[in-house]
Amino acid sequence: MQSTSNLCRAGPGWRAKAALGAGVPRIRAMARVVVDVMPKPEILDPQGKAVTGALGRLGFSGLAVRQGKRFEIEVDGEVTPDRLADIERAAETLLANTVIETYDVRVETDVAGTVDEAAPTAQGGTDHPGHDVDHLNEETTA
Amino acid sequence: MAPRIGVVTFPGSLDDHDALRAVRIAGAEAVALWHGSDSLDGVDAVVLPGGFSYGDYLRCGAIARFAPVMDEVVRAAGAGMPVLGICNGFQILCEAHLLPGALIRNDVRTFVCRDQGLRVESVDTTWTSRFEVGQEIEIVLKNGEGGFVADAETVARLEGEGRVVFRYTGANPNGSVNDIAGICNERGNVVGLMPHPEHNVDPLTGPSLDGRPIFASVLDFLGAHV
Repeated sequence: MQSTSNLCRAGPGWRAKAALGAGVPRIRAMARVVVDVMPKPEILDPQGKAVTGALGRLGFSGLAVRQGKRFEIEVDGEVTPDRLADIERAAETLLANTVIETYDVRVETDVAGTVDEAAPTAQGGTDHPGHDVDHLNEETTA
Repeated sequence: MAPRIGVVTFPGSLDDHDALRAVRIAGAEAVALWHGSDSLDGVDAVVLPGGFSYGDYLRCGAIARFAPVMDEVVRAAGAGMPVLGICNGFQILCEAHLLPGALIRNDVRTFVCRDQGLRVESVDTTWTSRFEVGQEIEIVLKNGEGGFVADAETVARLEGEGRVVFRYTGANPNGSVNDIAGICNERGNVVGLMPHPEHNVDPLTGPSLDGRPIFASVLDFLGAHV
């Protein structure tokens, strides 16, 4: 994080950025698309069988496990219908082998996203007592 | 001029040098091909070797299948060039849809490493013409994901069209449907098999020489087409 005294080295527009409230980390809306891939029901799943057996040995009875994969895809900006179609194509082409796997694509919007590093920020909460900067930082670094 | 047979090295390929050596032992010129190249260097046939390309990340062969050189391999295969996929190479051919079906984790859930009995089911391929139908051979098998699977319609088509090239004899080592160890495409120029014929060409290092006819077959084919 930059202190207010470093704003002069923040490049063009630093005055405007400072005026907009340099004490608040810029938070970009980030969309996350989750692709879940599972073996088709008719396909033997040796890994799932191994896990099922291990659960049984640990005392968890009556649980049958099939094991798949979860892909979390961070997308810059909005997930438009076109972008979603792109991701579905990516799932069909690479993330899943449709001979033996099925996939499911869903959008999750994560408002807490990431801090925009280009925006200058103040240290701590001393410059802007009204903002709980540390609390905001906690969320964004989850 | 001796035929030139290329062997592709992907990141993580293991048996590429063994395959190159098997090609040399067979009397052809062995050409090392790089995964990142967009050229096959004018070779007459291509081998996709065994190993763990890209660490088997995502799925075995799933990433290698998109290597730049594979565009050329797919194009050449479509034009009739002999292509042999060994183990990871077989997985890459299936991921690239040059062969149907897929290879999944062994049903026995262990890595299998053994001298495996096979029966040659088809000699109508560019890589098996030197065998006799029904010939029983012994080839090294070493894999964790060697279970061949395909939907019932595909299996029926493979069996019906004589495109099962090798079948496991004795106990099925990995759960492959119908004990299928290797298959070919419709034209018979693309063959994929899980066992490693390149480890059965030298009496010093292999349990049998049963891998030699595979490389001899393709030389017969290439010799007839010069």
